[in-house]
Amino acid sequence: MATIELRGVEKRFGDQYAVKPMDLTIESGEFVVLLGPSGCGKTTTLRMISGLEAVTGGAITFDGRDVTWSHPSDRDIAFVCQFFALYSHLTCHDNIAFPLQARGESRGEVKRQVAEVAELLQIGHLLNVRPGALSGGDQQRVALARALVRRPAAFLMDEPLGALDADFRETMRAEIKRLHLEQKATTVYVTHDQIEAMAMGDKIVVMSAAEVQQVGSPADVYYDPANLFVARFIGSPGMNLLSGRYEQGVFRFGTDQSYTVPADVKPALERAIGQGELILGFRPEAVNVQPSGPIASKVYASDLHGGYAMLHLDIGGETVVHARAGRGQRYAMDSEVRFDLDPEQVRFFHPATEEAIRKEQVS
Amino acid sequence: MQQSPGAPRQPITSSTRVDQVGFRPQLMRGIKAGLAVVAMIIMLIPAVWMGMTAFKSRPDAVSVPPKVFFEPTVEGFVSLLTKRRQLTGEEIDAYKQRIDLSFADRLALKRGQAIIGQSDFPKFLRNSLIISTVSTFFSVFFGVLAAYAFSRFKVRGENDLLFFILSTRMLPPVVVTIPIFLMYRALNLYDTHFGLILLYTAFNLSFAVWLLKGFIDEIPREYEEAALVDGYTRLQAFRKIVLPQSMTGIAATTVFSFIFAWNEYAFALMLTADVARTAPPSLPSRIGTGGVEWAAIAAGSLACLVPVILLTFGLRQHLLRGVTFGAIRKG
Amino acid sequence: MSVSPTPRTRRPLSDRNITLLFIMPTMVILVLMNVYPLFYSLYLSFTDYSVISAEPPKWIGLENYTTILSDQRFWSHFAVTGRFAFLSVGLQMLVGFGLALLIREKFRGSGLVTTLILVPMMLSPVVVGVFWRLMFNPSYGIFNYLLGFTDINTAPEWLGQPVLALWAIVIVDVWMWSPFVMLLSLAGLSAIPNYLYEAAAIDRAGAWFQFRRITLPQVMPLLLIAVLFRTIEALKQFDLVMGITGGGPGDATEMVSVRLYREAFQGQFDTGLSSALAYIVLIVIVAISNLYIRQLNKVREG
Repeated sequence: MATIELRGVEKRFGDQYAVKPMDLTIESGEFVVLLGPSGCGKTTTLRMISGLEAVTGGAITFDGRDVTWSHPSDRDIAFVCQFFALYSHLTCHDNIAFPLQARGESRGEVKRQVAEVAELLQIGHLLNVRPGALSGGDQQRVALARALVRRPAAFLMDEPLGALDADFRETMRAEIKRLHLEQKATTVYVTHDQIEAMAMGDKIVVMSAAEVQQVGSPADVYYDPANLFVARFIGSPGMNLLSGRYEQGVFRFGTDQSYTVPADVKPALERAIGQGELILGFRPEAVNVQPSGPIASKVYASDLHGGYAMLHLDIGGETVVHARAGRGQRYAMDSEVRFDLDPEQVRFFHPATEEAIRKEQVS
Repeated sequence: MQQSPGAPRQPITSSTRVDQVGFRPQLMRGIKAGLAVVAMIIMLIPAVWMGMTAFKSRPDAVSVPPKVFFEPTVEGFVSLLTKRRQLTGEEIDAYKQRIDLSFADRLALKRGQAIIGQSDFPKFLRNSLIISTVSTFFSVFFGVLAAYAFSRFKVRGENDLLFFILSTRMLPPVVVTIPIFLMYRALNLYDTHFGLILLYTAFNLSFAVWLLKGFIDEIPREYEEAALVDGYTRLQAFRKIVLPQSMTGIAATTVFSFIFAWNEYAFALMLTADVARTAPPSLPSRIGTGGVEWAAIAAGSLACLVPVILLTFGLRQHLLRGVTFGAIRKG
Repeated sequence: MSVSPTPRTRRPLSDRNITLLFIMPTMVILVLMNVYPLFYSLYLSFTDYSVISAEPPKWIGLENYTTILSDQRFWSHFAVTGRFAFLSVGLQMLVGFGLALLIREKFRGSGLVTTLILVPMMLSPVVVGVFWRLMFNPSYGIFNYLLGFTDINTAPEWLGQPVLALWAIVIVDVWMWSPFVMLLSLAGLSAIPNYLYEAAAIDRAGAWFQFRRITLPQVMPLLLIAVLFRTIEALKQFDLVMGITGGGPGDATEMVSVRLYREAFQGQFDTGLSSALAYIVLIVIVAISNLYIRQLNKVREG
């Protein structure tokens, strides 16, 4: 398994960046997800790693070997794409055997290895069928088998579940995850589906507008978004954001409302902005509804989600925030609700740079 | 920053695979493009040569070896459009004294000939134009109606009917000409404009139905349905929505039908003699008469081909659909 | 649409009636000009009749058919037609598909190059054929010069020798219709998804393998359409022969359609016999057309 390193890798068409210069290290055996809205450059990044797209700058190394200008087949990678890319006139067996034959393996060896991966993916009974006759899920299993059979140094997957039905997607997601854990294979996985990213990634690279926004574990990007884009993009609904002013340890917003900022972030805030404009963010589950809470709001609407209720709370007629509440109590429309925030889960953002302002680490 | 091994000297400006970067792939692409251009030149030689021959003098047209550089003249056009008489030596001398000779007369005189009237070629060309235009109008008119019906309504035995319509187009012209010849003779339609118009309408109708059906199939039904909901009748919806939306298709079909009729030879050869004869069958028969006037034939050919070449450029987006009867649309 | 609906004064036509009204003219014209003649000539094919004689058709049963099928001369016309179709369609496929492979990747001006290559296909075959007769001329024709035969004493006489005359027609047909094959091939090539080639690149499949395993099978349905369509057209070949050789030298290039024309409209005007010959041609062409239309439907749905 390989460690993949991108140093200053960029893709540019004239003045237009498809991917701005980026640095990224993908550790051996790691499952890294490139996540972002369509057109953010995540697929281009993956294609540059595979060699299907030539970089316009920077270098890519596999285990320290510079492969920036190596032929895609010299990089020892497997590529799985949304459209499966199976040869429709070959049987599944021949499709899976294809990379081995291209490498010139002996017949017996090919047969043995195909049988082995077929068993792993439980597609032994499909080997003599042509892919056209299979369901999307089975086709993707065959495509995965073709990727696995070469025992590549890295798997590159471009929205491999994108073309599947919702229920298949769930199953295949689990299968890919399991395969990864069994094979310990370095995997780079592109998706625009944050649930998929959260569920599968050891590390998530959030991209937007041709730029990396944040690199971190699923928990990092969810609880500690690096900037407003990540805060809004991750989570469904995204993070609640309130604009206001920071004055002497207090965040003032709406019509004369205020929230006392947790003491441990104050120094960081004061260093970053002094006194003035600030954005406060919190996830729906950071809300504690309690009559004595510091923040006043009106119920705009509420809906039940199986195990919990989602409240949509109107703050001063300006902002609607989303809050998770127990399903026990009913909230009438327009009724007054006061709430407090879990101080551990309150985040702050610079209104101009949109970057997160984090409390300083005690060293 | 240090250069990666194998980096290309030229900066990359487009989306391309790593293995297609560099000197060798670029050279391959260049060779391919070069060969394509060579192929194009070879394909165009006959047309270019025809254009050149049309402007050659009579001896230049048949010079050995063929002349690439020559003094252009419109002699060929003059012989194409006139009837001439060979003059005797004395007559030539007499003619040379005359001062009322036109430019064309003087060109003819160079070959010892006097112009004695107009040739039939302008008439043939006019026939071609009339017959192609009128028959195209009818085939597109009836074609668009039938295509609309096949596209929008459930027609009993639709596939069989469409199959039948297309199969009429596959018939060799000679096969149907014998009975049509008898029929036309009985109805006094032999060698008439109407006879050929009727035949070309039928000939192009099958094509028009298929091609137009393809275009109309692509117009979303929702437009019409919205109009029907708004209180339009089906016919109004057809006229005010479907027709304007299928204008491109109608234009392409019109041009194709026109070209087919304009180029047609076999029917015209067998069903016309003189009155309604079109230009294409008039050209081979020109070869038979006396010494072959290649410059004149080239000039006549040019008159037949130039309109088609121009129209082909207008059609280039639709050529694929046209030649496959609208069955294949991509590309 | 800003036009407001006109008030309805009479009951609008029902969809059924519109269908009828719209399809009728087409059907009437086609039945009149195609179906009726077909039945009429089927009847004539069983008779002894000449359009220039005053005598009415005389029923003679299958005699015309047996005459044709037992006459060595007719078989040789079929043989010439078959040889022409085979050579011409085969070469068109090679040249047309080859051109498509060259022009497949866009380069500066490739759009114009493509359109210019397509021009011959749209021209009038007979007009083109007549002009090619000049180009094939052994002394002042340019064709031999372009091939490098500059000595008119040793240069091939294209239209004077039976074998070469057939090749002359093949050459012109290939010149005219390779663009058609190219056009269909380009459509097929452009529909091949790029990810297939990308997967092959990662698998290190060679160029030949990519061609055989990806390109060829993906274009095959359209190539088949091209073969069928061109075969039908080649079997019907009339215009080019009339323009280039007129069937000569002797009857070396007299294909079935030309023979048919001569039987029906020249010499004896043997209408009965020529109708029978027409029917034999028709049966062959209908069989191939059937395959063609089926293939078209397959491509359209697939």
